[in-house]
Amino acid sequence: MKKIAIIFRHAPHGSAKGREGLDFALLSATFEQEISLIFADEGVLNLVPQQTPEAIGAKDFLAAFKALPLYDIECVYACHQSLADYQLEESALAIPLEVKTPAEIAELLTQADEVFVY
Amino acid sequence: MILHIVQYSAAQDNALATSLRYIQPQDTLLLMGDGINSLLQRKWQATLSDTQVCLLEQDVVARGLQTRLGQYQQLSQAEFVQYTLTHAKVITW
Repeated sequence: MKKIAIIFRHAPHGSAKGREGLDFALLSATFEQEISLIFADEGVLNLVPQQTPEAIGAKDFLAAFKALPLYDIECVYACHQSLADYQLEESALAIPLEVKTPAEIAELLTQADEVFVY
Repeated sequence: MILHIVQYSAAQDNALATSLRYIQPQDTLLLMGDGINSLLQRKWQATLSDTQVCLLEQDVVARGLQTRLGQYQQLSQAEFVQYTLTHAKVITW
C-alpha cells in the first residue's frame, strides 16, 4: 500500500488533466492505495461550485469529486496561496477540504511515497 | 530531498512558478526540454538564484545555449538517471 499524492494544477474543461487526475485518484483508491488530493495553482478552479460543463459539451466529471468519501479518500487539500490568488473563499468551495499553506503542502509531498501532477 | 522536474518554459505553462511554491531548500530543480528557456530571462535567473538548479545538457546543446547558460550545472543522461536514484522521489510538474 503506497501513499500517493495527486496534485491538480490545471483548470477544468480547457484540458482533460482534471478528469484524468480524478480518474487516476478513484482508480488508485479502489486498489487500496492511500490517496491524498492537493489542489494548487489554477487547479483550485476544479473546486468552483455549480459548474455546468455540459453547456460547452464538456463532461461533468466534477460531480464525481463529491464521491471521494465513498472511495475512502479523506485527505483533500487546497493551497491557501492559490485560493487567495483566485480569490476563492474556503466556504464557497464545492467540496469539504483542508486549506494548507505552501509550506504544509511541501511537507505533505515529502511524506508521500509518490507524487503525480495533473 | 526531492527532484523537481519542469519541462515547460515559463512562457508556455505555470509549472515552474507552481513548483517553486513547494520546493524546499534541500530539493533540486531540474529543467529540461523547453524548461531551460526560462533561465534566459533575468527575472527567472533572479528568482532561482538560491535554488539548486540544474539543466539537462542535451537540451541546452540542442538549442545552442551552452555559453548563455554556461553558469548552470548541466547533467548528462547518465547523471540525470543517477539523480533520480539519489533523491527520495521525483515530481514531474
